Amino acid sequence: MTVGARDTASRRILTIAGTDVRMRLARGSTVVVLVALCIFAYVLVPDLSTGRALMQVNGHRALYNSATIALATSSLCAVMLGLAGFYLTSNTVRRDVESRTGYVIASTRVRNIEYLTGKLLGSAAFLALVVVVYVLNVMAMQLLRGEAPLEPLTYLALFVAIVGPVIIVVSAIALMFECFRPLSGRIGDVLYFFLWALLLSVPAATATNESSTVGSHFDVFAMSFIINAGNDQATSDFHAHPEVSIGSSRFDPTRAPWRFKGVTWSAPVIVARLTSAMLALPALLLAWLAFARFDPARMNGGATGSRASVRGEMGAPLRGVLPVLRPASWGGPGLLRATLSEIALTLMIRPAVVLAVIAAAVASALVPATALRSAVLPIIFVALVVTLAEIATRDRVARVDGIRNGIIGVRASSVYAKLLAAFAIALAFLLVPLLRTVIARPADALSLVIGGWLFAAAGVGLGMLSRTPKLFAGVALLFLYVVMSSAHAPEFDFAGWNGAADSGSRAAYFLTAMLFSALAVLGDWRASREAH
Amino acid sequence: MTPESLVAPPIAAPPAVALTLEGVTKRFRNGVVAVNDLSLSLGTGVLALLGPNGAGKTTLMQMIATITRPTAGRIRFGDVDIAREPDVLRRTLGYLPQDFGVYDGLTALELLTYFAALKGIHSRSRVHEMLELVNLHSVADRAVGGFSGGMKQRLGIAQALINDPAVLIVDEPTAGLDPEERLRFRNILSDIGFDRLVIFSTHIVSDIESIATEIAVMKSGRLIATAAPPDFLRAAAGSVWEASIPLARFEEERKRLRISRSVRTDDSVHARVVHPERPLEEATLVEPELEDAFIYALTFGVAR
Repeated sequence: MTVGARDTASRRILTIAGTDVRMRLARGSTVVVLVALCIFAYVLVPDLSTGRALMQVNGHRALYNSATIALATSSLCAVMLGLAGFYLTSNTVRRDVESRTGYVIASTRVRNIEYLTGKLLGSAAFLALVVVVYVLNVMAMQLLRGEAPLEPLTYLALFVAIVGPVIIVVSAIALMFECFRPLSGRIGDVLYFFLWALLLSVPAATATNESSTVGSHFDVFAMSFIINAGNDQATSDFHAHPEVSIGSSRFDPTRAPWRFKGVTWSAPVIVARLTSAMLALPALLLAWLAFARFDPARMNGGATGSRASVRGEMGAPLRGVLPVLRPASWGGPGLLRATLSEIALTLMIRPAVVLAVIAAAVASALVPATALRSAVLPIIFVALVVTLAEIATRDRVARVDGIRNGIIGVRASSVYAKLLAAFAIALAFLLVPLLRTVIARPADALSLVIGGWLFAAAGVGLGMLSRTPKLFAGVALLFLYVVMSSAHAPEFDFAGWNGAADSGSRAAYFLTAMLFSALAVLGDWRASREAH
Repeated sequence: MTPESLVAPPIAAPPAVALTLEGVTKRFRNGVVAVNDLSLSLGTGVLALLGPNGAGKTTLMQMIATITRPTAGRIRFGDVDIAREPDVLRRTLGYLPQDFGVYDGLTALELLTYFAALKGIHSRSRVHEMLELVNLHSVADRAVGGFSGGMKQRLGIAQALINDPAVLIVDEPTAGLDPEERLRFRNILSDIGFDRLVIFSTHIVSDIESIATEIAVMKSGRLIATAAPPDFLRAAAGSVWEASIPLARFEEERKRLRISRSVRTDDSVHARVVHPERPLEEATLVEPELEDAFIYALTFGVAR
């Protein structure tokens, strides 16, 4: 018995993609992203009267015309979207698993490749929409601060060429990570961060003046394309090796502005951008090969999956050794009890956290001070991202939020307990670095505490607001990248590890941490209101 | 009387065999055998799957719904092995999984339209018809994130029915529904089962009393009994007793006997006991109810 008429593969793919976009647009985190983009565009194209410019070549600021602003903003967009896009889209299959709608889909005639293509297109369309909002904001900034007429086609060409492949490849990689079980969790989130850094840095380091090399065909983030685009004209204008800088920085007002005429499009350049976009195909193919079509036997290995068993085996000896993992034995006031139970739950769910804390302490104690700041602390904060990301969302995912909130006293203290537990875990990771820093540089130790609180509050706040750990993971990792790339800027030295933090930046980060805490309370209040 | 003597008469062959399960087994990678060598022939009607938690009901339903493959045995739909050609069944299948969730951001209309499209249904009127059937038409444009558990479950039922399936598989469909909704849903299943095959699992025996044309009882992955409800009752006849047990003795007797129901009075407990022989001096024989028959089948077994 069949109802209805035509049922084509393309129609099913478009239905899946369209629904995916609609769902994403309805989420609170999307609003956060879109508002953040407006602010970002405003900051990104600085007012020239502040003494800062978006792009400079050999100390000459680039004139604010469409070619300059489009090239600079599209290249920054490619870098940011390359990272954030992954975290924004890497929950599309998981959502169907958690809601069990995947079982319904699996019982229909939708082919695996149709489902995955639909999901890929949905993610790509959503990211494209984000980019459109970003471009519109940037164009508005040109109208506000520009020095030449707006040329929408220049924007269109550059964003399509630079950001287009990023959108499609990142969506495909996110889908592939979701389909491979070992990469579908927090470990995958962190691994992607390193993959992103690799994809970004290798083409940038190996860029040549050739318009098309073998490497340029794999240059997803268009690094060599961007470098060559600026260098080509700058080399002929300045008759010297040009130093192009993109991003807000101070300029010398005594030097005449440099006019960027735009990108010279050639067939090899266009082919290179097209082939880099084609990297999505192998990622999609791998996703297709690994996709379990919601088969519980392939996804979990059964009612007690192999991954759960491994965790259980790791957790069992730790539970025996550590009395802290026995929440039932605790007394004390409600908030303290709830906080301790949150900490215990974190350690029981992820026993590896205990090992990571010990490893962080040992490494922090043994390495020289410079290595502590340049290597160990960044790694500790990456570990914090993995550990703290799910504290706010795990109750909801496991569907125990109702049970927890039914326990007397837990409802009222729940969000505060999560904030305190996250902070306590952060301090456990940072204990030895703190002890070493407090003696030599007490002010930096204060920054480190503030940095720990910032990550704890952001983890809980963004998790509560977006109801997914991905937003925090994406924002935090992107932020860490910016911090590591801006060694001398006090405004980015959030934890004092660059030695550049000052009282102003400490106060700003403390206030930001408090803002995230308020966001957590707000998210909890919203959840409570919805529950009633 | 021995359990072997409580053999239900063989049920009549189904009018048109739709599904045949032959030695179906599901062994997970961790060694757990969820379904063990299960054979069953199903025609039109309503098959109720009964069994305690972990009996293998959900895994069996997932295999029939083509979500997971048997590790041994075959499931045939007509002459077609559904592991090899799942689309033959999927074309005409409705499935409601246990704990069905929703996409919070979508409206009821959008969500149902989505599932309809995946099943090849592009008629808006059909979507509205289903929303009316499950009494959600007045909230069609509301985001489902704000729906109660029962409303979400009704939406799940609507998606399962939207392609007018010939085979409908519903796993714990009445969980979360209020009595009125349960009655409404039972009637829907009963109507569908008239000329199609409905397989549904439940813990609530009263759900199946009025609509099941056949009952299958599973325990530890095995099918321990299949029979029509009257045959189940017949099999348990002569094995259901009522007795007033002094309060002081009740705990002890409860450990020894299978008590299907108990009501406490001032100094005693009025208990309903399932046992092949008179369990207590003061026990009197009573007519079995389906709940008793289910307990009897689980405890003493009923041959097919």
